[in-house]
Amino acid sequence: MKKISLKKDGTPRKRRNSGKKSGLAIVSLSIDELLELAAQEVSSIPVSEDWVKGRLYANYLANKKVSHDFSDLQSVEDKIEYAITSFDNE
Amino acid sequence: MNNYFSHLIGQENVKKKLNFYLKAYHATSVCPFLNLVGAKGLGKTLFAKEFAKNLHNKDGSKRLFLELNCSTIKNNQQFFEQIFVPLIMNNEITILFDEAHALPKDLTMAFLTIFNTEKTNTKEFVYDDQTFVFDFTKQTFIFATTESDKLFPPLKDRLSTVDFEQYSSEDLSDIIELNCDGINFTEDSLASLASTVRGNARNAVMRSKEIQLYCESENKNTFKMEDYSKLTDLLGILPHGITCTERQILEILEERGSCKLQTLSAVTGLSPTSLRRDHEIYLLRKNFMKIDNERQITNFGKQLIKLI
Repeated sequence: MKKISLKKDGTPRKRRNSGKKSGLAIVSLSIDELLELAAQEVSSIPVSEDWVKGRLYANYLANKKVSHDFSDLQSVEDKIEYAITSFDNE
Repeated sequence: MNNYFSHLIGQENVKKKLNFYLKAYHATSVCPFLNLVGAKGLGKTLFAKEFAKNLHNKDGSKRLFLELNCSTIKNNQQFFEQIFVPLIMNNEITILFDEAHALPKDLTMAFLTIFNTEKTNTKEFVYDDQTFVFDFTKQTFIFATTESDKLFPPLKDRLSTVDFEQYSSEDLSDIIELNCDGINFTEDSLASLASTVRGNARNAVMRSKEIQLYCESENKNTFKMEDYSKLTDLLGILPHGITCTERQILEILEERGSCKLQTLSAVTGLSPTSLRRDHEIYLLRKNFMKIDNERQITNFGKQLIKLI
């Protein structure tokens, strides 16, 4: 606890309000608890923007990894182009 | 001495050199590693193919010819797995590395070792714990490039360079005539046609196809000056084969007197690099413009604009 300073007349000096106060308190719920609450005619659940961005990026990375594992595609890209002439008919 | 290239037009120095190497090959079964250097459309691939046609296997049969585009080779492993082991190793074959300036760096380094042959005709190259044997009595290697300056100098030193030269108007006329079987040309129409192919043999062959199509559609077997005018009008061919952008550059220079590259770039909307590399070179070569601090149109250029 910070020490209270006094003015010349002996009354306590007013304190400046420092820092922002958090807007919304966040609670953690399990999926089951969420589903239970969602069953009560809830059409949408507000989630934080950061959480959505995080999930989208994770999905993007997961999809990217899948395309790298697609070996057929890889082998087509890496084929050396060549032509062979036999001159047998010339 | 046999002339193996007598049916091809022009490139007399190239013919002499390749004839010499063929004669040496028939005596020794070994051919030096050739590097065909020249601008696009001068016939590097055609000459390489004709050269390969005259190389024979030990049993007298004609040797296979493998043509590779180096820009599709990514690394050593891919080359040895996809090309060397299935197609080259233990086989009698001629290999043309086209666009050799695009060889990957690790394969260029490998070639430095492989083609460093002074006395022997075979070379064992060890890569990835495997030994690959190159037998130069069975395998002939030819390289071709338009950008010789981009070829790694130590590799260039190991190759015998064969330089291709520009075709003369007469050569180009002959190429057009040879590729237009059954069509007679008047002298002036043939000379005018040759002037539109920009000194390029491939363009001359393509122009021949257009002439054949024209003659078939018009049911003609004689090509005169009036046909030349009609064909150039139909296909939008400009005098001396200049492109629309080149004409635009000449018009800008004529209108403004002289210009900086930046001004030309601003007016045409093309980048300075593109202007320098793709559009100014032919105008400079044909003396239609000159660069003397600033770009200027020459008297030849002014006459050309009047013609158009």
